Amino acid sequence: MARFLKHFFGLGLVLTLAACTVEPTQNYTSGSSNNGSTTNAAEEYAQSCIGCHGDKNQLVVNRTFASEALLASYIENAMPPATPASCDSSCASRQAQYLWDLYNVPTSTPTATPTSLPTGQPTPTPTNSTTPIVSATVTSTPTPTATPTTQPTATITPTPTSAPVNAATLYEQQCTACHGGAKAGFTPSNDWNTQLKDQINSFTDLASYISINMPPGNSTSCNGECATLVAQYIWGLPGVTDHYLGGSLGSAQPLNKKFRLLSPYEYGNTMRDLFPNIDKTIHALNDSDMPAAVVVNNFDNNAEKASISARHLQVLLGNAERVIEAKTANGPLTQCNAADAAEWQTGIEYVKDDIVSYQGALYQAKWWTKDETPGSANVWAPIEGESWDQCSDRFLSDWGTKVMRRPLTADETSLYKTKLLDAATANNNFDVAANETLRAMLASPSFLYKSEIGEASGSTQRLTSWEIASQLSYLFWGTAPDSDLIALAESDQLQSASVRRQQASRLLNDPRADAHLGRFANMWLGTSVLPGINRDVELYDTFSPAVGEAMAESIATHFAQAVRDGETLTSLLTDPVIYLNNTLSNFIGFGNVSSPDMQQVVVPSGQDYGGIVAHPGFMAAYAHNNETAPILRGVYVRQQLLCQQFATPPSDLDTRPLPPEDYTTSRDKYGQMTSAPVCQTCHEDINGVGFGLEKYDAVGLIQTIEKATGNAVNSQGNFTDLSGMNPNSTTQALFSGGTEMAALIANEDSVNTCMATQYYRFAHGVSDADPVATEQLASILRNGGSLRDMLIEITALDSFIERR
Amino acid sequence: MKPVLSRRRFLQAAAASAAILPLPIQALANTSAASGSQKKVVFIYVPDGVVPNEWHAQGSGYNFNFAPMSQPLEAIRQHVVMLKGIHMYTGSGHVAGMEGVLTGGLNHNPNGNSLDLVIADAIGQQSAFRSLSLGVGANYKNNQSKYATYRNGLPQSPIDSPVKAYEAMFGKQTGGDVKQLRLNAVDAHKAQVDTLRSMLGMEDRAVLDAHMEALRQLETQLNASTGDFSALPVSTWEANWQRPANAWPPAEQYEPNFADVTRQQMDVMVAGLQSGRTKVGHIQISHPVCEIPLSQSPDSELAGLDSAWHSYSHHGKTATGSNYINYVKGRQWFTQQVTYFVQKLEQTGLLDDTLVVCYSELGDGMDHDAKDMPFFLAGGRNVLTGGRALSFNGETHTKLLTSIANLMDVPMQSFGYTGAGTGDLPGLIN
Repeated sequence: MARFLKHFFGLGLVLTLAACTVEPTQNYTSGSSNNGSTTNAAEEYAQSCIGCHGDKNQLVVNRTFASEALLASYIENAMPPATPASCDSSCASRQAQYLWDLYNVPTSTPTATPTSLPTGQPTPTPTNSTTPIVSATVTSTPTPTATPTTQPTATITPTPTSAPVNAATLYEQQCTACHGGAKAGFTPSNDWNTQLKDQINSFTDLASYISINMPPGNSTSCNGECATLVAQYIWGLPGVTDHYLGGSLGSAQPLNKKFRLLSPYEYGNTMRDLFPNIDKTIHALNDSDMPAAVVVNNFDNNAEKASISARHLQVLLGNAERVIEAKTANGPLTQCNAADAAEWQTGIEYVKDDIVSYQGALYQAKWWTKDETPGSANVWAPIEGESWDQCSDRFLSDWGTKVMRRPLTADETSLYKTKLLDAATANNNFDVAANETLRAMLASPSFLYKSEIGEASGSTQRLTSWEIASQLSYLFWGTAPDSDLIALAESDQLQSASVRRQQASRLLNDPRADAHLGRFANMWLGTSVLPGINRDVELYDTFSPAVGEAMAESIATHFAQAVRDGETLTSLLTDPVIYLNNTLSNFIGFGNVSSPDMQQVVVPSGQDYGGIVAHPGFMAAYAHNNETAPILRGVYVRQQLLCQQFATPPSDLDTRPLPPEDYTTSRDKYGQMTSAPVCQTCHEDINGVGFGLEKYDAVGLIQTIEKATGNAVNSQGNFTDLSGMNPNSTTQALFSGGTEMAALIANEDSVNTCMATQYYRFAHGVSDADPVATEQLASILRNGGSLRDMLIEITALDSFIERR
Repeated sequence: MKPVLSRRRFLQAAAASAAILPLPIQALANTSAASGSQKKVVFIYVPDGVVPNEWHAQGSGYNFNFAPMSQPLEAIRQHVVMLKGIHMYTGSGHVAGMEGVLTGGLNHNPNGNSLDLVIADAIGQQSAFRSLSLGVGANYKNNQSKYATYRNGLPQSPIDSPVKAYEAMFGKQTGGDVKQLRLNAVDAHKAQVDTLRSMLGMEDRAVLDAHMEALRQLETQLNASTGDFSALPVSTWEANWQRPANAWPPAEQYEPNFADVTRQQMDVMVAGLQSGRTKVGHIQISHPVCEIPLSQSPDSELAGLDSAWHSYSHHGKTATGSNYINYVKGRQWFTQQVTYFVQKLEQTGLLDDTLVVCYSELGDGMDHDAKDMPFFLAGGRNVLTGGRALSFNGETHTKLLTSIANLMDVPMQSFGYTGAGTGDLPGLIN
């Protein structure tokens, strides 16, 4: 917590943590000096400060101030954390005076300068030094912070895109001041926690407690959904369930009922599957016609944030018109009678349900066919002619089920049928009316949202088999259910966990799963950027966009094949293999692959590659145009593989790089730039990881001399606090290079929990994974189960189908 | 023969001779605002920064020269305000730059709404399209959803197809009574959203509430789409677009159509403004780290720009190097397109009331910094005193955002990040 607090309050000040016990010697009423009020400062302290800063003058000070005035200013502006407005200037003055005298603070040296008007440099960082106000009990040594002011000369460090407001943000805003950041894990504050330990047995209990009591002094600021989100979040932090439950698992909390908007990718897949044979260049099926993907935790299918606008609906309606126009150029959506049916011809491809006229009779295709004569080939079933009424039933049943991914309800059927028949009569043409009906369906809410509502079952809702069919299909294929799933939904068999397991297995066995699994892997690892990266063409002359694309494909293939082959997470991380095609093989200099298709290659000894992380693509994704990005590598290895989160960097972070004459290597540069104590609170656990990967240059090739600087590379790394970042101790784990690092990670238990967490987020489109469900999945990996086992088992969990 | 000095010629003359702009111009603007503002604003994004020395005006006040990258603005100099020395303190780099440039959001936190939408919410309430957001391949290979427009902290993607955008505003030119069919569909969808909404808990209804609001707006838009506007030849555009051999990407995003689509989107924007469908527009030309090889377009000025556009921004600062030369050349082309747009506004009589805000997400494209940002404004007499170059010593871009709002009669003291100062950009509004 201490380190997090430093970070959290890190405005360039020197910060300390101290806990001390000092008896106050005066009773501070402000009337004596400030404003004539008789308010008792000690009482105010008891009312508003004690929750975090401790009772009986156990003052927890997490920063230092050079003067009483600055302390007053700080209190006025920042305290209490949730409601700084509640302590106005006179209140702040009283508190500052009270505290200042209480601790008999020595007079201090230069004052901190608040952020002020810039003087021509981006992101000004104050330079200052201060003296701690708590003189006797300082537990860590303050060091002056001095950030060099320099001109930018090279690529700036981009920082990761932050998630929209979610539980983590709420926690950060309202809880970290007392409980520490997620980096350090949740730290119970003061005594109350031990008393509560017996009362809190689920995160629902915790939510209730938060709602009623938290934050101290302003308990109404986090009620309802906020309390639930935060409780859920805390419940998932390291050690929390152990703390409250003594190690036993509760049961998973059902997700809320919701409608999940198709992501752009899902929309494109779904439309293309509904209309497989149309010319895609008619730009009717552009994924980007859906709202921009909302990326949370690297995944682009977050269900909590995505919503639609008028402009999207307008274009989606247009798409429906265009796609139907193209589709019906070769015949109507549903053929109703002999007069409408086109004559069967050789050389034409027919798909399931197509109807032709042949020698005066009607035939319907049972599956895809070409050059098989109706009447003699089994693929053609003879059918009778129909009335419009009958035909509309068939149309609504066929297309309704396909588009809505469930049968239309009786109300919907009735409504659509009335409109369809009215339009058919008005136009004297069934086909035109059917087109109009389908247009409306293809931009309708029931098409655009995946339903996760379910039906009441005891105290929860259970998803219907239709909804489960969609869940399974979008999870493993990224598109709408196929005919097998539809059949199982029709017979309501997907309520059974074993049927779901069988289906998950079937879907994973299908080649269509590969691209989708690969997509997950690239989002998880943050390597989906690879096809778009550019690197300095003079420094890295063998790199090209084609290499970037091959790298992403290699990672995708690697993961998909690992799932297909039943590999464990350990194998995925540590097996000395890589997937190469000719492009990547030429680039990396081994493997001698001549085919454009990816194939598994055993990494030759001496080459520090192998596994999905010690991979040139992972290294290249976290690099700058002309140099490595050790900070990004360090952050993302911890965040994506171990789920160790860092707080958002301070808002006044100075990211300007040093001028080249001031450093020898990238390692040196980023080491210097993050050397200030306020930076080191986090960077002591970031840099060592990134530095250990310095042997990979900005395009993922092995380097011994840095191209940009001409200096020798030092790739000695140290995976400090591998098991979790503990403020009170620092463990060491020396390594050099990706394969040694991967071995360290693979041996770490939290890699299993994290893998489960990431997949749960992806599967359910949520930011915060349910800790119980996650643990159920992690235990599979921990006990030697395969990735495939975990992927299948997520579908068998109650949490897959229960909602509330 | 005695020459007649038109207002515009007078302004040109005034600008050329570095004269002080006459007072009545501002008086006119005030009158216009008081009598019901017709003001309009269009933001235009150009990707991947500049070389500051090759971009910023040399000189100041009314006496300045354009630099090579901004040279095409000479044709419209009387309408232009060049801005030098504006920094973006909210964060640098392609992603943070995009997130902060119109939101003023600090360090990857594009909170709330971007300026275009804030203005749209204020002045576009009566328009069929509160704002019109168009893209030129903006959604194509846009890996990290790099968009400049945000609503409630979420990126808003533009429409990449000028045909679809046109049809959204004016209806299809063929194919029966599309408008009525769409209105019928909207009616049905509203009933469906109501049904779905009732299935959710209160806290989970926001998504469907947004959907319902979208349907209501769509209804307004459809009712406004009377097809009464003189038609742009969108079917011809579509027919003439080159098609990729392997059916991807969609034609509107296919690289060889980039230059055509850029101008077509500008034409659609002009049509939107001219017809009164909208008062607030945004055109996002590609996106940060633009991968378009510009030479695939037929424009002769783009010959030789065979690499991805973004790659030229990494020119090594060697002015004689090919990357550097191509970077300058390509940026001239982008500037030329914005000039084209401003001239279109002028030809259609829209410019008097319209402000054009051109920007990028980076200052120096090679350094990826946020210094000396290549902002410039262009506009007519009722919105802006043009023909000027203003120079600042590190003023925050959030002051510029504030001033843009104030120029549009959306009064505010600050917009976004306030840590580097609040209030208007000094000297812009006079």
